[in-house]
Amino acid sequence: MKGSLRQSMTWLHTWSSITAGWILFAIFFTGTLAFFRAEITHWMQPELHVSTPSENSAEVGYQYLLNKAPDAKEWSISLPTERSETVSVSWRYGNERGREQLFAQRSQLDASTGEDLAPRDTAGGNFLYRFHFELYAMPRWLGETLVGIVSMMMLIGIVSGVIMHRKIFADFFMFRPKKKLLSWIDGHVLASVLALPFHLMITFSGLLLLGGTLLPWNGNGGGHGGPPEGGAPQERGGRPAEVVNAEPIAPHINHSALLAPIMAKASAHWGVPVDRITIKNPGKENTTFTVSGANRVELSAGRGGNSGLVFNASGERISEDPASTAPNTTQAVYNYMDMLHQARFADSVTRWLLFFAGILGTLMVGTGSILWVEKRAKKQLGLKGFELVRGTNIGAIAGLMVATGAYFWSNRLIPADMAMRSDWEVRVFFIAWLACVIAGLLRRDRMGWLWQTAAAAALFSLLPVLDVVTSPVGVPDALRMVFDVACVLIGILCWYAVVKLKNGGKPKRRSAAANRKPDADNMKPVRPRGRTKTEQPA
Amino acid sequence: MNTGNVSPATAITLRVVIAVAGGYAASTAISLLFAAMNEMSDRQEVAFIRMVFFLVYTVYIIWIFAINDLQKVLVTGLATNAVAWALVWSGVFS
Repeated sequence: MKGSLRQSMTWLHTWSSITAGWILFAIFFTGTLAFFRAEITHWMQPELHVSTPSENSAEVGYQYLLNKAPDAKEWSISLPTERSETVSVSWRYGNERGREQLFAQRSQLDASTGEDLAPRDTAGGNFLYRFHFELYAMPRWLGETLVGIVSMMMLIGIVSGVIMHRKIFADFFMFRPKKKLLSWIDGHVLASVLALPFHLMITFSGLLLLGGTLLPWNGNGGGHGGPPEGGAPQERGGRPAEVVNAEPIAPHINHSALLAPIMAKASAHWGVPVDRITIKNPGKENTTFTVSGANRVELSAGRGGNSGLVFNASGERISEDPASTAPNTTQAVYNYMDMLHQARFADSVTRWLLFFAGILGTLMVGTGSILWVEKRAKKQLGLKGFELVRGTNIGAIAGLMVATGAYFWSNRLIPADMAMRSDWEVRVFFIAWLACVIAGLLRRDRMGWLWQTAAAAALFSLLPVLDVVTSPVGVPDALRMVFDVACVLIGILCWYAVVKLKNGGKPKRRSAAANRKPDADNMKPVRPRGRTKTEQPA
Repeated sequence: MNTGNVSPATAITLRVVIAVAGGYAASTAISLLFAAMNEMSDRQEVAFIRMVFFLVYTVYIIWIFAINDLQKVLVTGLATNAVAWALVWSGVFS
């Protein structure tokens, strides 16, 4: 490009980012929320809130399966954990029952009483999770390709953004509030640099995860979530059963008394509690119990990093399913990136840290898009392209938050037994978003921002109230607490923006230094001491 | 910028095409070359190529935009692809 390296990088940074900005904001925001996917889904299924974990959750699951599917080939019981309050059971038959029975069926039970809770039909946190890498209502390859392209633009934006700052460290420590454009610049730099390693990691690893779609020539492709060897993505509980010969049904033996000692042995062996029990040939002489827990010792092992223990019908340990390990450095590094992106290892503190880093990333993208408009406001006001960006910014940033808030509200307000209610929740999301985009294009000024930000602030900050009022259990459990606290935090951020927008209209007295026009093209902050050499763009 | 008699819009479009399409092609060849230099299982190769590709692609795009002269951009785009693909097809590293 014309001019110095920093000027070329500024051009690249600006245009790579503003073109991808709106869709990136949506990806970053929904992806950040997806760190709490399990918590969101739990919140969105109030029927599950009555469940409280108990000592005998495993027996509860066992008794349910004994009544429901005594002659299944395999049972599986997932116990309550830090991120689930219910017992989730699944069972599958052999192929003697025809094709439809090959796949597992599942139920979610009250962890104390064993009652089948039959939660409402909702996509829950999965909608936000899937949206953030394959968008919606388009073929998967297309959604993944689009997300891949903007992720690449994001990576270019980050790298060029670092290069364009000669003094990135000094710029990071500079914050000049109440100076309009300079505040936007400093806020953008702050959000970007504070979590820079996270931004780089999440973007690069996101590209790796989409590598199957973006590099179709490489191997046989894997699509998202697939292991790098190109296997199909694992559907939970969706493994087809191995072909078995139908055996005469033997008298059923109740092994439930074995569960407690088996779990005690396993958790003593690992030092962590058991969170899943798989029972093959339940109730038979040759039954086996495979127990697993969160006993991963290394991230680089990837998804198969948990080891399991196998017990026989007498409760004796017969073998160990060892944890897989990465066969070589390449795959170790790859697995590491994969696990980091999906936070599969994270305890609650780490998960919150990732959430905050994600919020900073969202702010980085949002402030960047606003900065583009702020810089051009004086010169380009009224021009078609400028007004389009200016208006769409509102719907893409504030409007997306309104849509997400509306999605959560619709979850509690749409009747639990309505037909296709899950689809309607998603429709509410898109209708709200579309309405905001149109409203933003019609009202492109500060008031447009104010209305939509206020709507998002109200929706998010009142979600905990909605939760308490519409859940069968008033006092939130730990998982709902996470959701409610996160919503309050997002609400506070929005209220902060509302207050700023409300005060922003009145002209304030400014110091002479603040009135000096910043160099519009290379984002170089104006320094009071004037030590920097001015480099005018050609 | 030595754009000759090319308009600024065409110059930018050309540069973007070379960075994006030329970069994709060159990064493909370069990551295939790196993979060919190392003895690897199929699974390892898939993971390896994904990681190398996105690193090379990023650097390549930044590089193309850092060059001052449009002619140099054209030459760089063609030359890197020609050399990298020639090496891939010659099979010297495999």
